[in-house]
Amino acid sequence: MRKLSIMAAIRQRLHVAPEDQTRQRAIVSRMTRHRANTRPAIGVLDGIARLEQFVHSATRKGAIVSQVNDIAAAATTILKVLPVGSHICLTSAATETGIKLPVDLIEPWNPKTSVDNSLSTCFCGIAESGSLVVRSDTGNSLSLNFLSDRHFVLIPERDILDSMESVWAKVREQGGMPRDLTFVSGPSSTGDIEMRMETGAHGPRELHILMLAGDL
Amino acid sequence: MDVTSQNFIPLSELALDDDNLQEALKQLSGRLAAGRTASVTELPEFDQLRIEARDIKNHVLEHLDLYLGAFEQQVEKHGGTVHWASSEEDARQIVLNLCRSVNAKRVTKSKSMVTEEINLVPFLESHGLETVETDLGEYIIQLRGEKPSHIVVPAVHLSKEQVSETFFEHHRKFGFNEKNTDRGALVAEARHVLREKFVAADVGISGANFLVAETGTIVLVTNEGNAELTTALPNTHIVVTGIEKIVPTLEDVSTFVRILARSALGADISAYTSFITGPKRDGDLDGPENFHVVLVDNGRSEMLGGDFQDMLRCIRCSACLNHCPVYLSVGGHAYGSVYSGPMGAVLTPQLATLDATKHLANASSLCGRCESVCPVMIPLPQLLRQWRDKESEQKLNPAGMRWGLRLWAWLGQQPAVYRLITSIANQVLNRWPEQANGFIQKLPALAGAWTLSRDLRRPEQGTFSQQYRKAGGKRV
Amino acid sequence: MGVLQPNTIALFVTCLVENMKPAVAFDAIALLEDAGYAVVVPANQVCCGQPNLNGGDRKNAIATARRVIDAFIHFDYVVVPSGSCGGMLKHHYPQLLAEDSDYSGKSARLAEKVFELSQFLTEVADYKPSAVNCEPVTYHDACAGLRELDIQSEPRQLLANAGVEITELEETESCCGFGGTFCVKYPDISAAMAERKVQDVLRTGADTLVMGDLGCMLNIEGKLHRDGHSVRVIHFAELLAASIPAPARGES
Repeated sequence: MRKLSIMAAIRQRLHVAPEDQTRQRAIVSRMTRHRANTRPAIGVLDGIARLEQFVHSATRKGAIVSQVNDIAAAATTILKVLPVGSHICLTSAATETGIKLPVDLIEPWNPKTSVDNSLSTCFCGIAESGSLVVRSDTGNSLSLNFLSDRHFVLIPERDILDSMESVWAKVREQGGMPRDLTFVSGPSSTGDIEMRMETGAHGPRELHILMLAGDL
Repeated sequence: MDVTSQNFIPLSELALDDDNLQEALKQLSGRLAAGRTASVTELPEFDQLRIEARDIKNHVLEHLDLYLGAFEQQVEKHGGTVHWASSEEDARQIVLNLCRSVNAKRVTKSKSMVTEEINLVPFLESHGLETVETDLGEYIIQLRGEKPSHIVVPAVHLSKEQVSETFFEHHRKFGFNEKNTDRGALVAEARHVLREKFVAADVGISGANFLVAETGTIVLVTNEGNAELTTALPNTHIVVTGIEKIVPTLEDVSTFVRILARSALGADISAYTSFITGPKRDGDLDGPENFHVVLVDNGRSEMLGGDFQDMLRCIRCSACLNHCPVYLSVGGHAYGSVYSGPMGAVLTPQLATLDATKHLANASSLCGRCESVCPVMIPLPQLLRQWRDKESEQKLNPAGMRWGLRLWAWLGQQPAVYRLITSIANQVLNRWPEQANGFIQKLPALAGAWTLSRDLRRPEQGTFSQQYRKAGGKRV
Repeated sequence: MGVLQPNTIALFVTCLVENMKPAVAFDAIALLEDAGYAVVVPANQVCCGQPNLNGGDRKNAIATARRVIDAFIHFDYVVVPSGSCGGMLKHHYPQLLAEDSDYSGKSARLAEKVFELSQFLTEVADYKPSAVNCEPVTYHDACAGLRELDIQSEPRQLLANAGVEITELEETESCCGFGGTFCVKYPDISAAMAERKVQDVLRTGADTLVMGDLGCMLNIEGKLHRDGHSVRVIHFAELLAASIPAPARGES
């Protein structure tokens, strides 16, 4: 069995015995301690500084960030951006926010179907890297995040955490990792042709982040 | 691993004369090296992160068997399956069998260096599976039948005109009847074509930038979003990864996420960082029913406990390539391996044979810039010297060189003989016929390689020892 | 040998200085004496062993290292007018001899006494060179010295103290293409690297290129000359010693 021979090869090269309990304890200890390594200063900010870091970091990577007071203002912002005649697909979580968009603009979600515009919510944000954290559960289709040309995301300001470590703490509190958890830190891009950046490689060309001062 | 590294010299000659390539390499250096510098300068904690990253990897390598076991346990707990491949043949066969087990016809693939290493795609295609690379650079070179020339931007050696030609040739059947020359239009074309492939795929194959033992999670870092579409849409997701990609915890992988994009591209983080744990769950709206991880050894366990263990820390960021004066002179194809630059020069002999790859460790001035930018502090020049030692031991380098070095060392033990010989050489060079204005223009034999492209200043009249003695200096 | 004065420096000449440009050694001696030190030149020195270390001949590099250590360990200081040879003695010898019960301690002791010339003059001697009258120069940092000994600010400090202005290269951390036998084993790649360095030098507009390593010097100077450029290339020791009234030639 390949596993046995690979494991045996590794142990032989490291000069260790399979029954060595000290090593086993060492790794269990490390994997359960969840100790954070060094976090940069930009990852331990609070209050206004944290929000500013989020906006700065997201914007420099090409996201378009709007700070709005409430859901109604978010709807207004979205409508201003949507080209005339285009439709928008909402995730069920986005629909549940009660956001009011004209019914004739809304198109239903079908799996594996590309859409022009989509609106979703997210699990939280990360100020350090200007990222949105989206999950495959919680009523947001993951593929919908990627199959639209223009992606709008609603996030209350108080859901913007300082760093990745805070995200992991929140994930563990809520029962552990979902199937897919993705940091979205800007629109899709590629530098593969002549090292020049182009957006919309496979995912959205535009990422619009709507930061709500209040709750969803 | 198949290589053409024995052709390093003719390939590098071609590369030096290739104006398109030289322009591309200038762009690469100008953007990625400069980007990295700016990016790490703005993060005061960067050097501390490098030290921690190195220490995490060293800890993992010392406990690799246990972390792999823990990772496997977690993957299976979430409904995935782990497969173990000793060799590249094993790995290819496992992937093929998995595809067959779900009657797959169409496969999409996101970027994975280890799948290039094991030559997976031609193998799958030879067995009737349509296998499409979805990373734009990989897609382009797949259409052209080329190997990658860089581990992060595989099509860097191509001009947009060349990409345009390739797309025009292959995309007409998708309805693109006009040649696009604008970069944005070319990207949009690929987006359109590949969107169909994503949606129609039965199997999605990815690599993994990191594996998290604590949770059985694989981490995928992209800018394009192709990894997510490759892995979330089809019914089966197969991860192919080297066994050394493990880190212990989510906190540990955070350190690596912080240093990877900065080192590779000069961005603080890539557009997408995906953490995937197992197959689709109840309540998920999408995701694959089947999740498989293929752990590939292929020579990696052999590096443990030996002279090259440090190389297992590599996170494939490409910083060493982007700063290497040799890579920036000849590009990746000259190395004859999917791994190029300093990391390729160290890793390729291990995965192939030393005889076929002996130029790689020698074609270096040991300037050390690679080590200075490596995010996990791999002592690359030291490892290159070690390959040179092994070549000598195995008598793979020219006998003349080995004997020359022995003679030189012997002379070092005989100062009087040395001074006699050098005083003669001094006379000879001073009287050298092919010279002008105090510079020699042509030398014979090995030294002739010097005068191919530069002059050599004539030595001063008299060696230091002669002049010192003449001036009354006493040696002690 | 007789009794040495305190603060006696043993000069490690280096084989390139020995054979190609002895002026560098004489100027180094002049600077060190001007700084108030006595300088002697041990007879039993040939090479630091770097070609063997880099050429896959570790065994002979170790044998050479032992011999160099024996010849130099008794002095207060060992000064080297080269970052690469200095790096060999200070950085590589202890690694090469780490498993040698006799020499591992000796190599560490020697390493403490070894200084590259600019580092000795600034860190130990606190030397302020006399003013040198010249147009702005440009400066090339040799790779080994930069990476192994962290030499970067020291030569610049000396030049600044001497009133010499530096117009920096765009790429101060790029290899010139010498690399020991690399330049004759892979001459075309080496030439491409040297060409990039030459272009960088020319873009500064400086008439003089200063550096601290003879290997780089021969390489870049040889390329400049072949390409028909008239930039003067000198070791910083030559530049700084020019303002010392009567450079010593073997007088202690």
